[in-house]
Amino acid sequence: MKFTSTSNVTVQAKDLDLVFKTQLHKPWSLRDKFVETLRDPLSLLPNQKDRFYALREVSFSSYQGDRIGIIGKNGAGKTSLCRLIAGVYRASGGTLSTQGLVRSVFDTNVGIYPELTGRENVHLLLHYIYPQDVKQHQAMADEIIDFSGLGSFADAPFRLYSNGMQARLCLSLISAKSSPILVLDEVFDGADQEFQKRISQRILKLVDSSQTAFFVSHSPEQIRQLCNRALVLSHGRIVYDGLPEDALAYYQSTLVVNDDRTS
Amino acid sequence: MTMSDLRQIWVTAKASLKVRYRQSFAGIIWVVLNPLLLLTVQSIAFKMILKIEVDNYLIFLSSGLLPWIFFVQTLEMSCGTLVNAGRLLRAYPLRPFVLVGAQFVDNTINFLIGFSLVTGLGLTWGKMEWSHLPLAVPGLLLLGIGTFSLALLGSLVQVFFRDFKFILGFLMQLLFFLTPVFYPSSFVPPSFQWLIDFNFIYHWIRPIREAVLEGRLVPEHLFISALSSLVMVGISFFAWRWRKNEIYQYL
Repeated sequence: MKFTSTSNVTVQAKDLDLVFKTQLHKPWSLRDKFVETLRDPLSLLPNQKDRFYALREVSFSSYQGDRIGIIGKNGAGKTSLCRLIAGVYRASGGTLSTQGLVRSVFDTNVGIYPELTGRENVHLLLHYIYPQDVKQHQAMADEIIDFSGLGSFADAPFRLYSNGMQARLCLSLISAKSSPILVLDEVFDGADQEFQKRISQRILKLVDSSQTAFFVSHSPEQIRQLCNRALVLSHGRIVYDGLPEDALAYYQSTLVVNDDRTS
Repeated sequence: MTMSDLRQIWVTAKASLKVRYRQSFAGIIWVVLNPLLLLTVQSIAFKMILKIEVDNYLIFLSSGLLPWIFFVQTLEMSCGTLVNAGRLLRAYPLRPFVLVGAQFVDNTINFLIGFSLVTGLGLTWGKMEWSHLPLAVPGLLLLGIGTFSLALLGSLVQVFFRDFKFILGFLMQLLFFLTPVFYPSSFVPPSFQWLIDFNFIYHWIRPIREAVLEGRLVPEHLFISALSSLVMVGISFFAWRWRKNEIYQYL
């Protein structure tokens, strides 16, 4: 089943596995590790229990014009999938191919240097998010500050900003320019209602000019408003791939209800 | 590493310098004074009190001590870089080594300021010769490559073992006395020679010292220095490749 107007593939994932060699329950201290090793030298050997599958056998293709919502409970693998697409993680198995530049953001309340002003942070973040567009950075920074509506606060240190102001600046920044593939992981939280409306419109425009966008959100309204397709993830696997309304219904009826029964 | 990574390292280092120097003018003074003070105190302690018999001792000491300070400071300051920037790394698709690279550039600038000052003084006093300086470049480059690799490794280990920086500080104190920085390697008895044979920091410092002090390049020593740097690059590369995904779990 295809959900898009064209058949040009932008992201193709085949049997993707993402395995973490987690030892979070083991000592985080070299001294404790030393004592543990003396007590039980076999603890140094790799243990299958320490392998955690964040994603397992994930396969999907996205096409030009897709706006894909990613739904799932905490720990389902949504952020891991986004980080794989963004190239932050390296897959442990399977193949992932992307056609075109991927732009991604995972948190909108982070400045690089809280001591620097909002404007200075914008200039620095432009190098991280739009590294290919150096010549346009000055014009982009001016437009971002203007859209954020921060006014003279743009020249105040970032550490003085409220969560809402930080979100305004970061959301304006990530939506400043379209890119072939856009990955936004729960980035709408934090901004006030009025700004959420403005930024939603801006992101819709951005998505229109991008080839494919991936959104992670816990808000059914945002998924309905922004997406034309949704993936439901559970325990690192894609358990549903379809229209947003159907995916939300599946998520509510299968995963959330099962959870309620279990508890 | 791409051009874009290098640019990100440079702009991050510039921002870091801006933050430090905006917060206090003392920051600039400290960067310059710190190595000079150490040099002065150690020079008095070892030459005048302990009476170490080495010709041209101030230049001898500075050609070992300044690279040592650069090495230790870069390692210690890089250690917490990833852990301190946990939220930032999880928020943006920023390659973690960019932050360590920025810290390295920041320290390199500080080192070059200190090195230039000491060299300027040495040249003014006539104890150092202009013609020796270009010969120090290969040694400095190899020191930089080795130090950056170890800084990357240290920042990675700190993510998984949070007490690493304390252990590192202790190890550096021990290593300072085991490395011929303030004494010549000829002072080490033959039975303990292996201690410096396996000391990679000494192998990085030696070509710099030979160039600055004696105006000579020893191909064999440069080769060992390059080999030490390459080994560190290899270890660091494989460690990062092995644990890169897990960084985000532990931040």
